Amino acid sequence: MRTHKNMKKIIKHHLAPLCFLILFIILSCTQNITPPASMRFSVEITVLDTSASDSDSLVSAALVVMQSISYGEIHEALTNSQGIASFTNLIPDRYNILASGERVSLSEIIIINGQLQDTSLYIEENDTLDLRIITQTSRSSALVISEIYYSGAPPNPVPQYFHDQFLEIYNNSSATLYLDSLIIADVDYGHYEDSVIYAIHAYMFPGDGDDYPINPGELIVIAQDAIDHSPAPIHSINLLDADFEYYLSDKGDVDNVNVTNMLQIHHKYGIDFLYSVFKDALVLMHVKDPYKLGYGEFNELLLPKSAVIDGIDYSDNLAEIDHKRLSPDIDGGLTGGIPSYSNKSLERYIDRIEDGRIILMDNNNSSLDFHVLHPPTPGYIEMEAEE
Amino acid sequence: MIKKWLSLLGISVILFAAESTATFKGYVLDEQKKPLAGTNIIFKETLTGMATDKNGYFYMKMPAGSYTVNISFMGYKTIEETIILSKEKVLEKNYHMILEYFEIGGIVVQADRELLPTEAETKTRISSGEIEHLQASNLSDVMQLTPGARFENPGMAGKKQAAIRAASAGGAADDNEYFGAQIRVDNIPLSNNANLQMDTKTTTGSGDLLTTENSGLDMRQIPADNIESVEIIRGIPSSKYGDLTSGIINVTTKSEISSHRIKFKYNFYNQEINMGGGFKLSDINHLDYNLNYAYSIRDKRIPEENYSRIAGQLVLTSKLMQNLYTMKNRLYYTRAFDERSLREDDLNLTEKYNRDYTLRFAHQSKYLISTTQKLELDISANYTKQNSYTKRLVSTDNTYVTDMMTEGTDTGMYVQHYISELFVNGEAYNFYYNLNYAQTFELFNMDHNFLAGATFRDEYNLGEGRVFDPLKPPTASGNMRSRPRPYDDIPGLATSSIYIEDKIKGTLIKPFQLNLGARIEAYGKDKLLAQDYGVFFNPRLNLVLYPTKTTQIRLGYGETSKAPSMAMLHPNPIYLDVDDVNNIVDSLVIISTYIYSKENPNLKASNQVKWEASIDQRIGDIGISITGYSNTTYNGFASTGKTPIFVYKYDYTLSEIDPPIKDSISTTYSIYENSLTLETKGIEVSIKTKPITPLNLRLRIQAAYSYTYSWKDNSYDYRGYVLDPILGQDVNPFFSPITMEREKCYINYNLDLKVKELGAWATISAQQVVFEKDHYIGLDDSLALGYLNVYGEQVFFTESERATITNRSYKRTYDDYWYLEENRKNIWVFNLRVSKSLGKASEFSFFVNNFFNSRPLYQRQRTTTQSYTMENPALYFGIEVSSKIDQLFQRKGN
Repeated sequence: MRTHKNMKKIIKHHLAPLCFLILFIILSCTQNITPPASMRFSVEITVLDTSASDSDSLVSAALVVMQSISYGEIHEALTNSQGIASFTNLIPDRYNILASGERVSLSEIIIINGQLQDTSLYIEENDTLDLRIITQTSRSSALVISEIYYSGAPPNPVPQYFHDQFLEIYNNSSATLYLDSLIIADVDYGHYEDSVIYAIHAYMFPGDGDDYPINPGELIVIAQDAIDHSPAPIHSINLLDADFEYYLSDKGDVDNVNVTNMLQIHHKYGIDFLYSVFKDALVLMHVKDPYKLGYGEFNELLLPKSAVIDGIDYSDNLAEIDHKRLSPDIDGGLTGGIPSYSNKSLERYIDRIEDGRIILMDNNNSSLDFHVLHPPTPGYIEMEAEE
Repeated sequence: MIKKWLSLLGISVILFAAESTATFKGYVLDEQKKPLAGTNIIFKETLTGMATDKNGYFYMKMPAGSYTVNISFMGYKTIEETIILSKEKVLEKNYHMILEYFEIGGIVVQADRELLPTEAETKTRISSGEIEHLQASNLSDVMQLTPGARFENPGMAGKKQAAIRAASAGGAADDNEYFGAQIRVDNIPLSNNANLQMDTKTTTGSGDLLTTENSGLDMRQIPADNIESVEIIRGIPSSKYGDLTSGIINVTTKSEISSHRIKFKYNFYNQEINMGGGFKLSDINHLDYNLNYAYSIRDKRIPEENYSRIAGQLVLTSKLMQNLYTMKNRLYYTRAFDERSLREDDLNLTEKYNRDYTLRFAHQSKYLISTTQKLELDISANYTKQNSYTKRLVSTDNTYVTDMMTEGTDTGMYVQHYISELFVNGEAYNFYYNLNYAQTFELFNMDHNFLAGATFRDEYNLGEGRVFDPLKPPTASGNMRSRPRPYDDIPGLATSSIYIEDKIKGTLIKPFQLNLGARIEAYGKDKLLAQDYGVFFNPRLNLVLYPTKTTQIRLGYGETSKAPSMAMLHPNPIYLDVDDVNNIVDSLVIISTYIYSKENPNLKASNQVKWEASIDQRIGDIGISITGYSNTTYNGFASTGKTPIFVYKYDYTLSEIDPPIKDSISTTYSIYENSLTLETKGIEVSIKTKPITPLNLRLRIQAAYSYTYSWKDNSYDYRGYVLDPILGQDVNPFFSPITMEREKCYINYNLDLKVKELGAWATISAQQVVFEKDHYIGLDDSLALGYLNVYGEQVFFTESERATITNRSYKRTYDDYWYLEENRKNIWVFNLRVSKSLGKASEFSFFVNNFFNSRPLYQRQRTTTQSYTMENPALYFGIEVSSKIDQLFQRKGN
């Protein structure tokens, strides 16, 4: 997978000062008092996730931070495979203890958070204390749709140009994941309550399981046509660097031979997998056998709703919240509200930055998670837009 | 014409060398008690008679006996009575003829029509006065005077096609209806057979298709103002009519008129000016002319979309050989501009027009060989230049084009947008020849009115055809493309036919009339008697029985046939452009072009079987007619029949991860077939009254119920390609088609007030939509009949295979709302028309349509959302003024 120059640039320009600021705040709060070493003791903290199934109840690789309230000393440790974080050399004091971790699978990230507030730890020298932190979890997708550009280019001079559409997928997790065999589908209206997705089009990433990795913090672009669209409608975009494209070999489409073609799973109509410039819903899914459930009445491919990794429901009219295509477990909101052919895209908000890695907001609610972006930014995440 | 013929009868009085003769003599006078010269006096039993002299005097000797004498003069009410001539006696009688019509400043107001139909074939006759009173601008406006047509506001914004006795069924069924309705102008059938304005529509969505190929003629090109009468034959037509299915609209234009009139019509969307008149050039020659200009706009806010028409006509009537030979030479010219010019806000820069002109020469000869024999010859040459143009900015998905005109492989080029200009230039030629012989004779005590004839029609198109730059095609989506195509090598269409008919009048216990006819029609390519598209034997039969003096029973059976159009026989071929090499980065695309003809060599003419039964009853001053009919069109034309295309791509290597047969193109296209069956059944009820004193009101009620159902063979409901996991192939399952049954019942109420003394004519017309309903048929047939395989071929399931279908893709179900019936009920609309004379020579007319402004909302049933349609035309009104301008011409003449 390519790294994106633009992203590097952004990190260099914006992330570094931010880190310095945080460090400065922490340093200024630290009192320079050193209690005697003889008073110091050790603590073992076990992090437990009660929401997980039995085997996963011990949270490994969780970061546990202990902050002494009186002295401001901060101790950090990661839990081991037994879910135990070991601390030594602690001063007896009241402590705030925070544990945070995540469990990453292909379809989701489980964010684990737990804390013990104002806990007094006074024990004998070199004694060891066992503490348990019961955590709470929140789930979000590991792979998320980070940006969708469906509105098309302004009619200057070419009208109805929306062949420059693209979809961007971002690895929001800390693990390297694989795009192989994931499916992008658009969802037909009228099956909100069903347990299956009625897909008008469905296209699959090629690969045998480990051909198309996506690293943490990396994103990929899927273009309708991976070409430079800008000359014709003058405000269009260059998608020559897209990672994937839809090529319809039997519909007179064009093919960029340098860009990997998505595989057609189902194609009900149209000369490309064109997303509606008005309203549509797109989902990213992981389905073992896309043909297992068969087809709907009007030539839609049926796909299990449980296999959805992430989805976005958009409409030009945000008042039509009762005409949603995706149920709340996929997307609790509705985004869009932008006119057709406006050269605007929808981009996910940045939630936070961890270790220089951007974490995008994922509440499974596109009303909260997305904002309008102009112009679109294929291949990188716009930092200013966070403000 | 008949009258003139009869007057000739009178001139050549045949005196019977009778042994016991009686004398019949007297005077015929008009309303002012002035002698009426040239009145025909006919004895119906012997078909002998004479005409009055310049003093209105008549005198004839006849064998003694009881006779029915018929006294007629054009424009006057015919008198018929029984007289008894006694041996060697003189019967002297004077007759006072009463004018049958009066004029309102040039509008001829006909007096009573007969309460009961006088002819065997069911028809509606509309006179020039009714057309003017209606303020019709073209033939289509006139059609709403026939039962079963819903009221509309006048206008020429969209194309107008004629349907006779049919509920609109949409798509191919409508096209067949329109195509099978024959429009005849002055005995010459107009034809749309050589119209090749195909594929003029491009996917721009702005404006409708302007052209009428494969369907009925656009009636907007026939101005209403020069029409003397329109006869709409809905029943079994005489065998002298051919190449039709649903019915005939017989238009007779004005000729041999002596005054000049100018007329101006104005309503919000239409304006029209007409001027017409005639000159007596000499004793034998009479010249008539008519000039018309009309302008129509669909929406005042869009002045760029408009329709204008210039029409002109010249008629030279020559009476030669002491009136034995009448010759009419007519020249017609119509130029229509259907414009969709560039709108300011149109980003696609669409400009469209359809500019047609028609030049037609028609020669008509009538020669009276004897008092009982007549020979008629009609020759017509019609040239129609059709010029359809579409210019627009095509903006498509990024794709490729090639200019390969033959099959082969070549490099192409990538395109996304360009200005495309498409010209479709058709030049349709129609030549029509008809020779008709008629004779009357008596055989076995019955009157025979015999006719026989032959018709040949030759039609072809020599247009430049579709003209465009193949690298800037009108559409470039998908890979099925089109190319320029000239029309001059397309074979023409020849229709050859012969016919005979005998109208027998006699008495077998009760009086009867029997019309027996037959027509043989051959349709083929180019040549006389060519039979490529079938030979049809079309019997026609009409029987009228008169069980009592006030009752008549009419029965009819007939078959008709209609040639396929040249556009159906020779559609534009498909050019499949396949990208063998597709590399947009290096701008290299290599395209193989494959050409597929859409011609169906087995396409034949369609035919219709008609049944009809009527009962006409007079009760006092009320006449009631009830007609039941059934028309079934067989072998109607529809674009069905999926024809597969399967092509492997040249260099595409099959990779492991690709689904099977990814390196191929598989698609289908459809061709015209004789696959449509269209059933129309109905009942028509007509009630007419004589004038109701003292206000001289006449009431006419026409009710029409019809049922329409059509289906297409070889036409299936395709659901799109799905993967069949058992076959391991993509398949496109197909089901039996969903069809629709339609029923409608309209009642038209027409109240006429004609006041001769005031020179006024007022009409209130009301239409009641009693119901108009439709529902789907075949929704319960839930199992697929078969599937199209990856090669585009149809694979049918056997019955046992169907019974064991479990795969959901081969099943279909419909939600409950699909089963609902749409029914528009009890919708009323009231129209008012007033014509009033202004002085002796001028007139003013005014109409208000839907004057109660009733526009009910109908909530559609077969939908999941709330959706309404607004019924009835909008409140609308217009005026007309006309004046005779004879003085202008008299100065010159005198």
